[in-house]
Amino acid sequence: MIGIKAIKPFIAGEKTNISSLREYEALNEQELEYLNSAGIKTVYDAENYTSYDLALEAARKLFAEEEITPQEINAIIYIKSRVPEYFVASEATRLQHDLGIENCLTFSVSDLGCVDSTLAVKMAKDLLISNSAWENVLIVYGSKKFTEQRFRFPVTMTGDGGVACVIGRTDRNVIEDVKIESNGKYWDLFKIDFRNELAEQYKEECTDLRKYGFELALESRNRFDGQINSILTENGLQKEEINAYVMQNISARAFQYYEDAFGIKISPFCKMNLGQYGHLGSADILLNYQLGLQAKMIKPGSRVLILNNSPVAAWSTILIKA
Amino acid sequence: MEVKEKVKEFLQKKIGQDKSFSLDDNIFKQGLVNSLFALELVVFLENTFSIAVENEDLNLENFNSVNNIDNFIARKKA
Repeated sequence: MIGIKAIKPFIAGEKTNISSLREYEALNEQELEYLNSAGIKTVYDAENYTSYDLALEAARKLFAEEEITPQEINAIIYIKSRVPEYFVASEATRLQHDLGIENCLTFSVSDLGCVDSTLAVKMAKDLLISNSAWENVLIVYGSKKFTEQRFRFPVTMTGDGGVACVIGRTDRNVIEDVKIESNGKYWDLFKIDFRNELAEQYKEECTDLRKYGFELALESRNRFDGQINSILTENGLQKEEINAYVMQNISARAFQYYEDAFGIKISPFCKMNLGQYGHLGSADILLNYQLGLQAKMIKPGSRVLILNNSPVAAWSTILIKA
Repeated sequence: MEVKEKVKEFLQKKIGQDKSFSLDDNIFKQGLVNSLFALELVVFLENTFSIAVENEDLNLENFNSVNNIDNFIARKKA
């Protein structure tokens, strides 16, 4: 069986109340109303740490605190930074080098937004299935604000933090199934023009608010509905057998939307992480699952559905037996 | 009750009883573009008229006025 062996967050810097952020004062009435009801109270400002640094430190922390050594890693899947430090150079192999792992396969996944982490989990599982001698795959990601504004209207507020996760052969947190799909129609719904701007001028824009608030929201309902139904049917499960629903941390409004759409309750530990960290991109679902285990709200043997989507647009559902 | 009447009654409750709008008025210009409203509207249409709103139906013009919703329901039922 293949499952999650360990997850470690790395959070650096100062915990900052969102109303203390410099950008807060510049928000208009509509943006303020949205942000104040988003369920985000604080974010961490990792200051000089880059997204790469946060990913690296999360991996180092995992090796320091768990009974897994770098030499036991057969592959590293680096979830690429939304804004890498360099063009052309490889952050994935840099991480391999900095961790002192000289003999493993290392590569990046990217372009599916938050759903990159689901793709990484699926690829880790598939790699272990296809390489019977392999024991462990390391997944790492660092989330760092990619413009001067942390607030991404009308979506969320980005915080800083890293995560590392080891997928391996274990009978705990077994990854029973993964569904993942994308729709290219929304490829540029959110974008940053960087070729004609200085870095401090980068600004993410939502190119079509109505498409985001209406079409994509409803397509997400339909896509998740299809994924949840097929994952339950194909694994011989009823909805009542799912003990916890985990999602990425976008906003209280997004949680409410999916709770209303599917008649479910998103696990409270997701809301706790949203409140204190804001949105950590691809790291969210891993950090939420880890907090659920740590708080003993995910019990051994219970079934968990992890829903993860992105306005890129991509949707994914993971079925785990804890 | 006809489709238009049921839809207008639903929208009137959402927009506010004190606000008037015609069957052709764009309801999304009344400031109701958000995902929770979209979900409520679509679930109302699905439950009331026994239809399924699928991904290929998700064109805002199908839903932005009482008359357009009426036409959309008619096409789905055809």
